[in-house]
Amino acid sequence: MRKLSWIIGTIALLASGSYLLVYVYRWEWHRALLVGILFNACLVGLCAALVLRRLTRVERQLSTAGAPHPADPLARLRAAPVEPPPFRWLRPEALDRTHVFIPILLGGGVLVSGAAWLIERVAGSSARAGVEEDLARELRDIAFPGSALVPGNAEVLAGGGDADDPGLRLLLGPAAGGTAR
Amino acid sequence: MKRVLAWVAAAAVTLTGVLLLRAELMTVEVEQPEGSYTDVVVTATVNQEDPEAVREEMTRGLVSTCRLLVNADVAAESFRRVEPDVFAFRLRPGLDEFDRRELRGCLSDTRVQHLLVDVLHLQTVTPADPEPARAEG
Repeated sequence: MRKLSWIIGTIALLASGSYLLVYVYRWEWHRALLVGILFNACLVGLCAALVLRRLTRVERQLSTAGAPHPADPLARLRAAPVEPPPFRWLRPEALDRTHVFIPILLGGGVLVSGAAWLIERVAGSSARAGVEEDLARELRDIAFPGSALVPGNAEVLAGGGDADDPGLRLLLGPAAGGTAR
Repeated sequence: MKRVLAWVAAAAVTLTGVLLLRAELMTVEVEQPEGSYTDVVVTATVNQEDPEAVREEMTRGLVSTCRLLVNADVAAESFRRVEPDVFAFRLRPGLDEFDRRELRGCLSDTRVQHLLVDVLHLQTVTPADPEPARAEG
């Protein structure tokens, strides 16, 4: 019955809309006005019915959500949602589904990671000795010399240097000048 | 995505319909030559107790209303009863295509209560038209 009402309302809306256009096209303004009123009435009625239907659905959902729980513990236990069975993808009827590949991929990932770890360990232990020797040799070549790169003040004073150089005398100060003489 | 496409299609159809309607309803004044006239034949149906008594009067009233819309006059003594429910009259000056469409709509419309008029013949005749057309008018 409800579906029939919707069908009738929709047909009336479409028909009145079509006739509205036809009458406007024919310059029959009075008929167009009358049909336009009918079209508006159908439109408002259908929109109101849609809103009411949505409100009823929301009301029903709210009343279902707010229903009191059964007081009896046994009834509450029975009313509780059943836990879904674990590993549903392993059930025989689901083996032909694609989601069975997820655990296969996970297991494959674990295996590949283990193999990679093993290879890395073996390679590291075999190559470490040679690499360390090479590195020590290279470090020895670029090591700083044992003696200082620049002579110290005492060495300069002891060695004399060019006493006639005024720049050097200025740098060494009065002591250098005295020693030189 | 489907919903967007449906809305776009509906908007396109609506726009096309509005443009077509506008093109059809747009009135353009087409100058008619001097001496032209428009002959109209209508049939009138009256839904009242004594239709014969008021049929002609109601039809005359409707014609005088509609001729104002198209800025034309009913030629003197041209309104006549052809058959008990068929009337003919002549309008001057002649109506162009847009005015004819408007006059036809006005006469067929439900402007007068209990009166339903159907246009049987609506033709504009100009002096340049051949004789048969003028004779038919």
